[in-house]
Amino acid sequence: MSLNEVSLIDVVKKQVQFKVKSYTGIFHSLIILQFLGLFISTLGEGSMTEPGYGRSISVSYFSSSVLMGMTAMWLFLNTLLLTTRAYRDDDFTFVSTRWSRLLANFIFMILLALLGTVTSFLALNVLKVYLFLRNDDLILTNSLTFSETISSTLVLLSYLILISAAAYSIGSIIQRNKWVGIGISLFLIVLGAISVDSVGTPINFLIYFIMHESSLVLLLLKISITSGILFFISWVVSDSQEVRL
Amino acid sequence: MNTVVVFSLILIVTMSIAIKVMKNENSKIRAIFKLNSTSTKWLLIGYIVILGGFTIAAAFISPSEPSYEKVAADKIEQFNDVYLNLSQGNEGDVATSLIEEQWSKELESNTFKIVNDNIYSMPLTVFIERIENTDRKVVASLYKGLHVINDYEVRDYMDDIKLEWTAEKLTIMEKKNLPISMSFFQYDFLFKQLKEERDNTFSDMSNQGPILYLKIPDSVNLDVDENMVQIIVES
Repeated sequence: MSLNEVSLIDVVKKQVQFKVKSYTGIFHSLIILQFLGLFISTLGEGSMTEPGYGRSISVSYFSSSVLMGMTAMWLFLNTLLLTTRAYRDDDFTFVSTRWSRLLANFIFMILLALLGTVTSFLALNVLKVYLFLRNDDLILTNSLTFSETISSTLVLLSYLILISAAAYSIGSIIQRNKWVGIGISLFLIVLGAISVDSVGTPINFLIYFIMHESSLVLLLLKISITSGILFFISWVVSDSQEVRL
Repeated sequence: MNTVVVFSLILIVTMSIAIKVMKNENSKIRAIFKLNSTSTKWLLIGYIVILGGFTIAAAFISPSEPSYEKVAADKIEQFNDVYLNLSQGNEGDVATSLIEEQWSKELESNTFKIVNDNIYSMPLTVFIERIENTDRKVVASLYKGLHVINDYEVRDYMDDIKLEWTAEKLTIMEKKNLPISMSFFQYDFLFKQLKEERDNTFSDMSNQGPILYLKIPDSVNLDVDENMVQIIVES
């Protein structure tokens, strides 16, 4: 029996340190997926050739979307894995509570989102260097100023936090009840598919609410509130999961 | 088989071998490559440093002047007006700055012939104004064309056309030039959301071809394929 009183901050700190040191596979998979994303990006998003009069004109299109998609997918899948039984058991090797576990996972996810943001932002320059070397006439249709770069980084970071919050909630629900979790996931997929095709209708509100917000402060506020709600759902559904059955 | 397919096959084979090796617990290669937390930390630092290096390189090799010029909407409108004005015979309303080249040719006989060297395509629009005159002088003006792909002007567009004049004949020819390659890079919606810039669908393409405006006296006999030209003012 120990008489030492362990503070919540100390427990959370130890849990975060443990996760950073132990879950090395997460970092390896980030590098592999970003390499894959860069490779796919170099293939381009499309091309066309116009015969023209005296010469043919070939047009190729490249964008940052594959690389960003790969990073988002990496974060989503790894956050989902954090809620699985194996990872949960790791957390309770410490003297911890549901609250400390959630906080530690939240901080770890923010660290992952931060890492994903920095690396994907920098990795874009690998793509640009390749394209500049391959084609001197690369046209950057929308270059970013310094302030736009900073605000875009914040937008990217907030989206990644939102994605991990969503993944964590879905994962927590699946751990609680597999069928409810799968049902909610399917519902979200169907709703997302419908929303994409129903521009301007009320159902599209879900997309417009965040993705069409042009004020940085409001966007960050909306994402923070949504992420907060998602984390709260995770906290509620993980009730009494400290007890191993 | 193109390079991409070959590269993808090599990638798949390499990854399959790597997975097999890493699954074998007795493998010496696995022991070498198995990364602990310290080596993972250095791997990540190395990765970020390399990416940082590419960021610096990208800043240095990006051209200060874009090789293609973005076309303003009023310029496109100006070129549309050229077509409209010339098709109505109002050459005087068109800005002289849009004239690429002008000729004034004295014919030796009373017949003027226009031929297109390529029977399959016509590189320009020909407008003919018949003027009341007994001279044998043909006045020709070649007006610039504009080819726009995704708001960017295709450069050296006029280099593809060649007009060859002889005593009684004008031959329209096209010069075979090296193909043009245009590569577009755009940031996705995450980077444009705050700019309220919608996704560029990259499908905009407009072409206002060059126009050859000929003033030919009505006393001169015109030998031309009627499908090739438009007689806009006939006396």
